[in-house]
Amino acid sequence: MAELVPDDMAAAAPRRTGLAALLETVIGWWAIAGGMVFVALVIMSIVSIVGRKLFSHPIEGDMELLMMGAAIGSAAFLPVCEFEDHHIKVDALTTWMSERGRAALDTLAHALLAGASALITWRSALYVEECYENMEVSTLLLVPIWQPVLLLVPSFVLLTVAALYRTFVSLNIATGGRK
Amino acid sequence: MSGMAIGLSIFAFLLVLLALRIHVGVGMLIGGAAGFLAMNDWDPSALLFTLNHLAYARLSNYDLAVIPLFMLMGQFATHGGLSRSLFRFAAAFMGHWKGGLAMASTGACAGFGAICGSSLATAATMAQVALPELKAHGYSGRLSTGTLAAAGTLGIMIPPSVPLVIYAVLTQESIGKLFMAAIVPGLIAMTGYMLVIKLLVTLDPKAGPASEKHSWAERLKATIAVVPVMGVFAVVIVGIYGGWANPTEAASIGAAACGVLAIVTGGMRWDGIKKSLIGTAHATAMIFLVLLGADLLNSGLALTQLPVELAEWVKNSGLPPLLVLVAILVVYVLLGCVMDSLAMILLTIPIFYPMVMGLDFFGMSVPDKSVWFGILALMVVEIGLVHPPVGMNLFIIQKLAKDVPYIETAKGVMPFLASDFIRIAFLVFFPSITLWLVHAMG
Repeated sequence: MAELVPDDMAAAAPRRTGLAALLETVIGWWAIAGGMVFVALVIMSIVSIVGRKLFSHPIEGDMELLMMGAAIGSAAFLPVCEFEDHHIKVDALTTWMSERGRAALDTLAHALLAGASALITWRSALYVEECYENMEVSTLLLVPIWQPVLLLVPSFVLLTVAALYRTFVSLNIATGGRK
Repeated sequence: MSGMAIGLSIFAFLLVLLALRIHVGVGMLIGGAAGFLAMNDWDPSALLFTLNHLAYARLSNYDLAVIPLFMLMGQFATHGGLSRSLFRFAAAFMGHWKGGLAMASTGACAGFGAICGSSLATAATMAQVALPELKAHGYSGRLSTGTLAAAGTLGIMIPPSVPLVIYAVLTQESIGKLFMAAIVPGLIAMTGYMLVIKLLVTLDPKAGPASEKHSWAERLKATIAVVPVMGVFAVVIVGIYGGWANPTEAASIGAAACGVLAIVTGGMRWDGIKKSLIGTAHATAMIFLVLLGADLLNSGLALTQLPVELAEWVKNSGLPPLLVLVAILVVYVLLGCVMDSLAMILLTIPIFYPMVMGLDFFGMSVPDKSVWFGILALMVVEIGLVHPPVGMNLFIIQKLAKDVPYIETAKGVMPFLASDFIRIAFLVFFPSITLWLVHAMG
């Protein structure tokens, strides 16, 4: 199943310097912020369930808040996964290739991911505009939809940047450089 | 070119992309985009319009929010050391039997699976606790690693189970019902693994010697330590099935409970919390990128009518339904040798599900068939995790048990795989095993 190999067994994290180190910090904290969103949602859900069961008074629009929060939080998770190259791919069929051969294919894969992510960034930004112009709001709390959608955009920008970084790393290995 | 031909070409193209190490999510996005373009005479407007709300629509799905929450729960359980109390509890009751500590590992994996929806985490966490004990008591390397690699799969077979959530979202099935249906097959799996251990130590008593017997006072102490963990499982499952919390809320409660347990009894501090959050981020992101791709792919394939037409063709082909089902299960086992199980479910369920729903199996109703097939799919994709040469569980256990050669682990897991196949055959031919609890509770 899709999941991270528990950290204490993973290889030691590569030491990064300069821009890559900065990117690592930003993306890492961005993911932790996304995690904190989920912690907040957990607390909200519990308050709401307790309120509903004991006082017949749940938090109004708790489902809406959870949906918005979950979208923002899970989008924030995407860049870190790409930065560490953990997104799922089928690698069992290319084990016979040389490291450089695999890196050449990976260059293409990360470049395509960067392209796809850039496309989603662009279209999501347009969707922000669309929601803003149409004054779309959530059903119960009347939260303008453009607000949570806007918070997805930086995550996809970071995902694009992370994918470009990975493209660069793979290209370096493919062309015989060391990174 | 007909819609179906386009659909099939897209699928073939997608498989080539995947073989070339393109990320599964990205490959699916490209395949879906190709479907949109081909079916709209290469006019990109429909595709671009769909892309506008793709990310938000998919990521804000209420049912899918259960995945990061279950991941968080599992991470807290992993970093909070909850596995140790489970193992001690099982060992206190079974340790004095021949092969008892291996059985205890299996039982503890099942217990951990009840609060953790993932298999690798279960295998790894439990192995860290159990492997040193097994070694200290003179268990053979092969039995130890084989047991833990196989029993790790109980992490996803016993609910909560992420593949079942994905199946539920793809097929509009109830998560609660699927979780309920998975309990009995999960327990059968656990029993099956224990029987395998019993058989192995009967054949080779040196592989798993009995250890000292625990006193009742020790057993009571171990039981008390495990009560909170069982409480979390009960709250999650009873909450969902009792109807006072939906799965997303139950996952929130579970995450909070595991978090509190990890901090209070496991001594988790900010460093552990940070690791848990990052772990959740990775595990969730891996799934959600594929989900984004699958969303576009499924819309694209739906435009080509491939799933409907293929289902219709299979229905009218006169092939025996069980043969079709077995063929599907075989495809899963084969795909599982090279592909991640979740990616596999996302890729194939939109095609296979309408096929299975269109066929008659033992006169089952459509809702029953839907639950039954979900559990079968779960059981089969789980095999990919322990199937040599690429089963991920094997690698994890391998890394932890440094002194056991890979080939020993691979051999060790074989008898357990045999029990998997026997169990799946039973579930295929006796759907009531799966459906019994759902009917009894419904």
